[in-house]
Amino acid sequence: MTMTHGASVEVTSPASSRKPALAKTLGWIGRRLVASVVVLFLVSVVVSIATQLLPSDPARIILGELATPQMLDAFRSAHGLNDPYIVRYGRWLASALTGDFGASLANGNPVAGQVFPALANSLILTVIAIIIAVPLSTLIGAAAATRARRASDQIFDYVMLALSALPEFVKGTLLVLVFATAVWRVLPAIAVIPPGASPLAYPRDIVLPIAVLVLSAVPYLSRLIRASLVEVLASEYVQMARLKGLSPSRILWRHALPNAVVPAIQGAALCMALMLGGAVVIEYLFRYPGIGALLTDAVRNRDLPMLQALIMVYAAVYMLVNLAAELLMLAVSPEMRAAGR
Amino acid sequence: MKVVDVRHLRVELIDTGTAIVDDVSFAVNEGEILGIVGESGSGKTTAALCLMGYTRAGARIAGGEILVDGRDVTTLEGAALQAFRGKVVAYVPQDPSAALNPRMRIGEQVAEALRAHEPKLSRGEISRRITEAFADVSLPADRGFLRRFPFELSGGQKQRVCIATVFLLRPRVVVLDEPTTGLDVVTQSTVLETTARLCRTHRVAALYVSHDLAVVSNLADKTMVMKNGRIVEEGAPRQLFHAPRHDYTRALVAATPHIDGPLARVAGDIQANEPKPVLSIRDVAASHGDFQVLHSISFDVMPGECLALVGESGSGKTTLSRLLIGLHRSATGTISFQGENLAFDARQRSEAQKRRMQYIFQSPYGALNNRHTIADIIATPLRLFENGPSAELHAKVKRAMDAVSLPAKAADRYPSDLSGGERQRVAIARALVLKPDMLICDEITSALDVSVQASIVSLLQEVQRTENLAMVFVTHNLALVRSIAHRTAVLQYGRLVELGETGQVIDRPGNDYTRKLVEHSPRFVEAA
Amino acid sequence: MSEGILVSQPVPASGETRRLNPVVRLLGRTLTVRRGQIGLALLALAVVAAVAGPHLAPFGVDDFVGAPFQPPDGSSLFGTDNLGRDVFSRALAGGGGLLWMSAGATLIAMVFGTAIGLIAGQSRGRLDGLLMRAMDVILAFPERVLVLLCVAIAGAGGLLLMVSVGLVFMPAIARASRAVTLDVAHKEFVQYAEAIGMPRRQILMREILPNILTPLMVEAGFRLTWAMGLIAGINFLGFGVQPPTADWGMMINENRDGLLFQPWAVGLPIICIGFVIFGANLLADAVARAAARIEG
Repeated sequence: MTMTHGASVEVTSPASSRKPALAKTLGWIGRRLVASVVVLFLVSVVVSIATQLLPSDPARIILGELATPQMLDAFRSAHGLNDPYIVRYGRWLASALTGDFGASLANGNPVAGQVFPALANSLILTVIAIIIAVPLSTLIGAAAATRARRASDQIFDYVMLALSALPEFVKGTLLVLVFATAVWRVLPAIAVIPPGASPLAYPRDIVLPIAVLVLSAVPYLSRLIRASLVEVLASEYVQMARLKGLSPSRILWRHALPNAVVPAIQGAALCMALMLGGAVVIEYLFRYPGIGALLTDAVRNRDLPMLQALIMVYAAVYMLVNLAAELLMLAVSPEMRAAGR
Repeated sequence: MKVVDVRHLRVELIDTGTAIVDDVSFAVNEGEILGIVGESGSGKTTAALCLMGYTRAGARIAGGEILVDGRDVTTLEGAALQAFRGKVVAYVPQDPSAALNPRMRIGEQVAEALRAHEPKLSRGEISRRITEAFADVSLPADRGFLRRFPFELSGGQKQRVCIATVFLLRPRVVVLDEPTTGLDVVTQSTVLETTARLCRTHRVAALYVSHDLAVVSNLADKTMVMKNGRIVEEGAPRQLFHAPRHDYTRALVAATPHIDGPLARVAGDIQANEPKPVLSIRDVAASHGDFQVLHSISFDVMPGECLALVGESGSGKTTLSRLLIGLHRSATGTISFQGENLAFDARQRSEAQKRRMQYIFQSPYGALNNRHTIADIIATPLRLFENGPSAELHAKVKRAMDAVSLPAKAADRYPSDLSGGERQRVAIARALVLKPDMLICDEITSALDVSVQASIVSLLQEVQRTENLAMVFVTHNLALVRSIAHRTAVLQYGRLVELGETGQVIDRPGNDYTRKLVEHSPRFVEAA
Repeated sequence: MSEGILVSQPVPASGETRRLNPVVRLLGRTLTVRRGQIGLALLALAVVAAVAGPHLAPFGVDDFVGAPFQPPDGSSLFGTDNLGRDVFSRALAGGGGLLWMSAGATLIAMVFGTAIGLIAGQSRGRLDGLLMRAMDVILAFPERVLVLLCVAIAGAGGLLLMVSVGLVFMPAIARASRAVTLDVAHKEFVQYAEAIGMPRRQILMREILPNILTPLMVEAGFRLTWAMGLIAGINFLGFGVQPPTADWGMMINENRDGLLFQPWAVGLPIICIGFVIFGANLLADAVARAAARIEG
């Protein structure tokens, strides 16, 4: 605190502290990016060591059970499989950096050509789901928080606890049971999307998968928003707003919510990440052509190059989502808004 | 003209029906300031907030009449209550940092109050009114300032924004809830002057809620003292402070340290058999990261002497006390303790040094581990250093508890069962159990009510005398220094600006900064 | 003056309960919350069914009792599954594995995660950085993806699934326990212990650990719920326990083809999974509420 000689001499110097704040932020972003790249590199090392432990022999998988030992040897030396580990890792890393992740052991096609379209399909599901889930959760969370401790809030709480308790495949199977088979047959039970086609061209097929993702995100997000809103509503600045004679709706929308949704940004990022994980089961359940389905197949077939590429893609997307959330939180912070002025 | 007329007000907890304010009646006239004084839990804030038809969650107004400007507040609801709050009765909060929305620009927060109550105002009109109100509290009202966020303002500026927001609406009554708690004395006195001037010029009735008798005595036209939800005494400040009738008021007045109070001790009191200092600090500097907090500090502490270190927040006083106990390691210079060099890092100090110097923390809430019993906590240093038979250990713990007047049955209790003052006694017992030669006390009374503060201070005086302890007593409260310290050192921005006998430092300060601190310290109003 | 608020005041009952271990005290408090009672009842029912189920079941899990996908009738309460086995008998036996695997996974995660977090939080410095970067690498994937990677490496199987879920949950626990450790380490009573030269290990065990148990129990409650969902999902994909073992997740997958004619073969395991995980979730939520009350 500064000492003052009179009422007007107190000096805070935001004008001069603004530029450094911006520079500091840029530096922080830079450091975060570097750290992310380092972690990605470590991930690639760990994953490639881990896949070395795979009890599968690519040569045998490709040449089949009937191959002679000579044929296997010839294949291995032709593909550099006898080289030391570090050489093979270096080769993999070099081509991975150019976007070439090798060929799938299961079907012989390039991995990258399968992974990226599938990733796009999965992102379509998760992005649509998050676009629906965030505003929905905000409304539900706000409605619950403003009725805190009343019966309707209690009911909300139990319903959300139950919904969040059910695993995605259970929710998905239930939806199929209700909307696609036993009760009504209004929607397809599996998504029949031809390879290369955009899922957006098949809106009926993606309704159920998206519904499951939304049903998984909303309980978590709405409870998060409710909890943070209850806390904000008890804060002194909300008490102050009440004592200033502001209307309840202004207090909720202008004072409380902007403060309450900030923790929800990180929550939404986590949700997005959870969805990527959840999509593995959902895509399998609905036979949706995303990277989750590719991953299940790769695990089943022990398809090593495919697995390596998928894991790297998951890690990269996951990191970008988290970084984006942190940047968004920073962007809406008063410190940054003051600096950007 | 009577603006506020409260009769037989009762507020109770909804769950239990326990009264937290009971049978409280008072009236305030136009342009008059009523001071409500009480310690924590006295119900003073609860009573004042009832004027706005507001109770905290879990409590309700259970009885009585609250007439403001002829209207009964208890019957107001919904839109009528909204129109009433802010416009008829307005509120200045205790902690402006918490009361301003961190994500909303200052100008917006001020203007929204005006727009809510006078929706027909034009933009120009609004900005003219804001400029006027800001000028009243000596704040600039240019676009740049209004577009700032709360974090860009100092504590004093934030409080003045709150005050401007209040007077902007020209209310009939203002409730001020300890509005200067977090501010340093100089800022405090400007805020108080501003408030008093605005109340008088705008003919506003004010309720000033505070725990600080001295502040209220200067500001209020009349004062009431509350305890346990009831009024124990009311009257003119002069009469209340110089001829209190009720025992509680009398004790409260006696417990309140003030800058003109009697000097408790002078340097001549110390029986210095050996003229050698216990603690000797030479040229000590310290930093937090790149920021230098302390510059070239040197002083001595004699055996049996109490040296007060006074400074405002940011003066470096807490860093200095942490450095003494070995918790602040990035420092240079030398400290010698009982003739031997004292390392900056506690881990490099000898066992004897760690035993002979003990520390008491600011907050009695964080200083004790809630998972251990009181006896366990006091025994901690004994177990570490002595490891004697358990009967001896128990006896020592018992003796230490006696020395700080803790009843024996507290031994099996946990810290959370105890009040703040009792916890601080436990911390003192833990410090004394090893019979140290030196005690470092860091703001140890700042979290306590004045009456508790007084009892802790007299306890410290007593043990210091009986044990011949040297003591460094760190505080921001210059008035408190009079009742405990032989000598006083004043810190400003990490430099020692004055050091001398307490009486001299306060009565004849040799330094501009000290003089300003003394001048702005609240003092009791003169007797008639 | 009125300082002695307490000592003259009797402290009701709390004097007794406080002497208890913080974990026991937290669980005791949990059971005073309504949802804690419901949650525990549901879980207890599941445990009883898992233990006594095989003895109560009308048929063995592998017995063929009729044609595939027979709707419920007199002999088969909930009909038969895709291979003609009794759905009710298999549902009774299908939850035990899920229960112990999730409990085991949670235990693994808690023990190792807490140890890592405590050590990192107390040592700060280089060891802290090293441990936390290692945790970051694990945290760089969605949990389910990492479990699938483990499965791909080591093969499908129940025990392996439990260990990999435990390892995958470990970093989050480590982060949480490091955060609370740092939080407590800044408290003044720990600084006091440092100032009087208490050995680090003693500070860790005596001053810090008792204060972080409550938040860790809350974390454990939610981890148990998540472990159940995760493990059931992996079993559903067919990478966990292997046929012919009865397991709810696997039953749902096996019998999906018969949804149209024999919905009970899917419906019954869905109901079972739903109630058990809902019970765990209620209990976890009750622990969190009880903890919030205790910590005030």
